[in-house]
Amino acid sequence: MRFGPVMLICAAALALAACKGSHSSSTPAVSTTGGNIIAGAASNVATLIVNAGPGPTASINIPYTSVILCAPGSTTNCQTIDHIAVDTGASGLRIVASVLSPTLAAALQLTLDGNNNAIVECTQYADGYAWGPVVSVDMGISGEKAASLPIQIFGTSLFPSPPAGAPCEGAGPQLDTVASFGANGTLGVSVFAQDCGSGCALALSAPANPGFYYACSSATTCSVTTVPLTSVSGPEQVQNPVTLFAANNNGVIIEMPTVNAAGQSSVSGALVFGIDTLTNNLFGTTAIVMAVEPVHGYVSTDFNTLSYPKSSFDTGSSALYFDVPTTFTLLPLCTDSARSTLYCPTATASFKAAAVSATNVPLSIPFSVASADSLLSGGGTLVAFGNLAGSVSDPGVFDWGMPFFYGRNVYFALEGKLTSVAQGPFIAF
Amino acid sequence: MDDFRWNRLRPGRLFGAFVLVGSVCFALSPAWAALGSSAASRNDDRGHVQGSLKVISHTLYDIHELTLSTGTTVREYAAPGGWVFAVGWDGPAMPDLRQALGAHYAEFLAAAQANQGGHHHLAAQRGDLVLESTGRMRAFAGRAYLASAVPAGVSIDELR
Repeated sequence: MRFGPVMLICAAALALAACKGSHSSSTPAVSTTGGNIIAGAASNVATLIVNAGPGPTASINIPYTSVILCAPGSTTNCQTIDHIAVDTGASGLRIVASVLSPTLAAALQLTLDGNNNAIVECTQYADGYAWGPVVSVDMGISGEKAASLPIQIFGTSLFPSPPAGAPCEGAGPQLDTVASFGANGTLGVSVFAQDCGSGCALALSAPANPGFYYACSSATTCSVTTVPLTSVSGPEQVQNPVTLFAANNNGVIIEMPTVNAAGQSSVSGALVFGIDTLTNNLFGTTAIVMAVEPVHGYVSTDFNTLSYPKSSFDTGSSALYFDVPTTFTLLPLCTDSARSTLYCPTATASFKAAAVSATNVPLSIPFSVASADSLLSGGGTLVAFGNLAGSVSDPGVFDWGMPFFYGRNVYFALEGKLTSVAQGPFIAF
Repeated sequence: MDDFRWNRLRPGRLFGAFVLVGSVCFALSPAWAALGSSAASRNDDRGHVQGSLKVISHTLYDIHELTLSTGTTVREYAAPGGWVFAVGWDGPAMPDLRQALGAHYAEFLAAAQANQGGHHHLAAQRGDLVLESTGRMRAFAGRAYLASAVPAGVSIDELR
């Protein structure tokens, strides 16, 4: 009986979504910026702040939040950790070991496999890797809680580095301090429930296990291992904490105000939990649902007569990243060697791209690109920019990084979770 | 600060029983010809290559395409003399850049340490060397090339 009203709401909402997604629509949808309402303080709302960050070098366009970590089952052995970088292009919580209080660190227990080996993860990034064990914590953020959440702690002397020769190590420098990471940790809230996904659950004899999880019998004796997506009794992959919330667990909304064209030293927005579960996270009537490709979360972007099939919406990217042919003279690369892959148009240039998925008509996205040389000339005084863009080596990539999010509310619905408008995974704005 | 307890481990177990595995696994990493070296110098001992190698010939260069066991593909762009002037990669994991970049890996480390824009992108030009890396868990891509060594008539748009 209790499902009755829910089903009714879904039926009505699905009809609405179908209407929005209709190809017979005569007016092309356009996503504009500004005028969005940003949720105020509430039990399902965490503050986002883009500022220079906790490291010695200013971070550019990185949104931070705070989390509360407690030893499993404890309500007293807890610690609030700020400057956690919020990343819609990743899943799961990772904390730099040096920021943990000794009391909390001492209460955290390693995750062991059936052979009493500790599960240690090598999290790869485009510019390095984070190496450290999977541990279980009770995590709180705003009023939401994820109990017994598997997270990664990295930069711990207990597991100082991968075993010699491990391919994982070749991703660049080891990120093991607040200074090298640019944050006290990171919170991945993508549309996926796990960080690695099905690849890391593949048998090692099968090709294409990317090899991010290791079983370690000592601090330095480790080999690649298989870890299932979830498990009630044994090791499981690092999990997107939103999936573990008791309610408001079907996704998140990133809500940011617009920023000045010249940039700002700081700007605040909201990380809202749940989609259409409360009055402060309503789906509304204007957002467009875009189904994403189920492994990488891609949609497609059309720009300048080209199609970019690997397109994502990523708060973990500090600029809009897309390649244009060398013949496209409106977006010259900067000449300063420190910024030679960012764009430096002579005057701020305005463009339109269109985002497309299997479920929506092309959604026009206007955007502007200013000279990165001008924007970044302040040497880190200004760090929030809505018009910073650069090139990327993969011509199929159109990465809608942090500049895209200013002036918008962007919905990320989790895989396998139902919302009033559609089943996740999807993105909407 | 970071003293986790191995509460659930039995004392003595930890450093005893499971010592062998790592060194065996990692001996299987592929042999590559690194950026700035000669493809002819490749140590092509198939016993050490976990993955497959394919050569694609173009007019002005050859692409040596290596598919790794992680599912990631690495492409070495070799000029007619065999000199590798560019490498590119894409796939679910980063390749071992120590092997792909060879002597230029130190420059990747330096560029990464200067990166301010989060960890999903790295782009830098250091002298003649151009480095571009992008991605996150599940999807990485990148390339590195020596600008002055790119043969005349080859557009960098071809190097992926």
